[in-house]
Amino acid sequence: MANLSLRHVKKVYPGNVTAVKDFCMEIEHKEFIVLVGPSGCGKTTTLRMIAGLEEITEGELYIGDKLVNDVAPKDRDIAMVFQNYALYPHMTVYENMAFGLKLKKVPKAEIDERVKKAAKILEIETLLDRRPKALSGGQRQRVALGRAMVREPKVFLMDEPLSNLDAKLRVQMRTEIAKLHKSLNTTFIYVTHDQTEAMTMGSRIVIMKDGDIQQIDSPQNAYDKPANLFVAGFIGSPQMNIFKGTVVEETGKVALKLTDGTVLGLTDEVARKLKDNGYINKEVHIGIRPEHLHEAEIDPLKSNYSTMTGTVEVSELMGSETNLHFTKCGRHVIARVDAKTSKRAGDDVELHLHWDKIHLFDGETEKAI
Amino acid sequence: MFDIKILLEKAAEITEKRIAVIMKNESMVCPEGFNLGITYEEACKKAGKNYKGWNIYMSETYGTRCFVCIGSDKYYESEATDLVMLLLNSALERDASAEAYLRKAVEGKYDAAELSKLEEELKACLPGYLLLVDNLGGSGNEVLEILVNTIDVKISITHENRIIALAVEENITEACSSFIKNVLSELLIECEAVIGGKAELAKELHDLYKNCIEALCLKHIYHLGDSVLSYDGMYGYRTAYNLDTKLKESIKERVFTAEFMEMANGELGITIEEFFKNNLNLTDTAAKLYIHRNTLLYRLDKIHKCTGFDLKRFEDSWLFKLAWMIYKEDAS
Repeated sequence: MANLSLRHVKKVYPGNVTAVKDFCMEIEHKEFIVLVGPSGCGKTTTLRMIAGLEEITEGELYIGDKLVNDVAPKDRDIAMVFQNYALYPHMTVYENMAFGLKLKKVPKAEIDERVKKAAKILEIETLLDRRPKALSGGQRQRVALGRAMVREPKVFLMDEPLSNLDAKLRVQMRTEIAKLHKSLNTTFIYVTHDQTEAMTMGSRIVIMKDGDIQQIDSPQNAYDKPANLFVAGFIGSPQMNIFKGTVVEETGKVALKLTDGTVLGLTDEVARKLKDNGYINKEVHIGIRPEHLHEAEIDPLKSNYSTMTGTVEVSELMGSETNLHFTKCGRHVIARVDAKTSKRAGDDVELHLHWDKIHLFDGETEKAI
Repeated sequence: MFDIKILLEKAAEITEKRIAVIMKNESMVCPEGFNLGITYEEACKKAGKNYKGWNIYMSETYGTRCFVCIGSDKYYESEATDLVMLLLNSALERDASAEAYLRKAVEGKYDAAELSKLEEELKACLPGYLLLVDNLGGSGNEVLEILVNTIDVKISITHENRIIALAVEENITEACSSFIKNVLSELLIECEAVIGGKAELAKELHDLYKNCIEALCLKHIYHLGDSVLSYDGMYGYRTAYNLDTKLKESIKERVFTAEFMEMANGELGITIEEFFKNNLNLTDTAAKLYIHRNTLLYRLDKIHKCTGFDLKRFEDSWLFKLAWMIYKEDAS
């Protein structure tokens, strides 16, 4: 069992630079946790603290039931895969994978068993006699993974392991790592700056910014119910369209008024919530996902929607859908519509916005309402 | 030690026997991975006998005791055994002797009369790069094992909890970088490799060793994140460190505004470091920081507005870099 517990973990570097503020999280055995956020958000520092490569300034870190704050990295029963890795050029793939175990004086028969088992899972059995020079980038990456796997650690830590690969290989390896997690039944903690990687791989994702946790949730929940404006903008591609608006009450109906005068309706539940919490006449941030802007001509919904108009500036055919770009209230807006749309640059477009798909964030705190 | 390993492999191949060497802190077996099953202490007691399927012979060269073991069912002494012993003894002696001379050379503890002997003993290892490996994390033997398996090391010693080695590589910086990555992956230890420079003669080794120590000091003074340091590549830091105090102050005053100092610790600081590390290349820096090129341009523009220095211009960037080094020196 390798559950982890991070309790009020903090990292302050000399010069009083705080990299991680108050990291609290319980990680269950076999979970695939992805730490995601922009550069400098503290995700790598957090991973390095778990590995023991970085001292914890405050707080406690447990692996299993053991407090490991002062335990050396090699004694934490973890393996780490890095963005930059190196293989021993003069050794075969087999020898590369076996070397770490030899250093630990693991008996030869056990080394052989572990290497072959890892090679089978990684599907590199036929490459065991080759030297690194004779391998492709993806195969080398697998050998690097294999070197970590043969240690049979309680926890796998991965720091942007795919960042150096080209886009096609990255997508392929993403799936491989997810499959690997399933077959190994071990806890994975994975750091990436790429929200697509986070969304596709993690059983839970931790979105970080400026050393703070913004949200810990399943990828679906983080997408559907972002905790704040930052998460709303960070998760999702193309990113969520954000407008500033005011909550208004006209003739007993609560609605949202954009800066250009466009009025957006609300579901009864949201309207009541806004009224009860004193948001009338207050400024809010309004978030609309690109796929929730539907072309009026083909939208089957007959009620509970508002209309937004604009002039298409760019029409991008993505294959299965088309992204229409236009400007609204001084903001760049993207609508992801059906690929068969006839709208092209210069055309006026009328879009339906379903009320139940509107995300609202407090104008000051930027937290989800 | 690497020579002995090769010699062992050859001897095992020629005699078609299992051969092992047991030393106080280490043992080697050929074919590799074969279980020796004898400790140094056991070998001391069983020398001159057959034990656990090994004939154990004692060798004492250059004050170092070691045991040569040849796989056999019963004890015997044959010409083949004598030959293997002779070869191993001479290799051990040569190795021990060269190691002792390397120690003398890096410490500079020799007189003029000894110099020719020193040159003679280390001739086989030169020319070579003097490397120093620091922060061994209490796993010196394992780090050394990774070093000799990653870099072509001619000779190495452990000195003041550091490894000192003479190595031959076409691209020594790249080889050191691979070594550091391997140590990190295998042992989760972040050690540092310092390249003191290339020595043609043994008499140069003391100065190169001093270079390594100076490079390590500069790393700490300037909070350098690099794990591979090349003394020759640290001219900038050496120059900054040796500047007159008044001049340092005037450069700082000229470059840094109060507004900038407030922001220097955050993402702007990281951006500056990365921009310099990537030779003022916008695309590479943006990729390393995982930000859009325009975000990088926005940040550089912010620095420009705060300080009056446009880091994209060489004229501005070199003075700013100097000031940045002085600022980091103050912070240390």
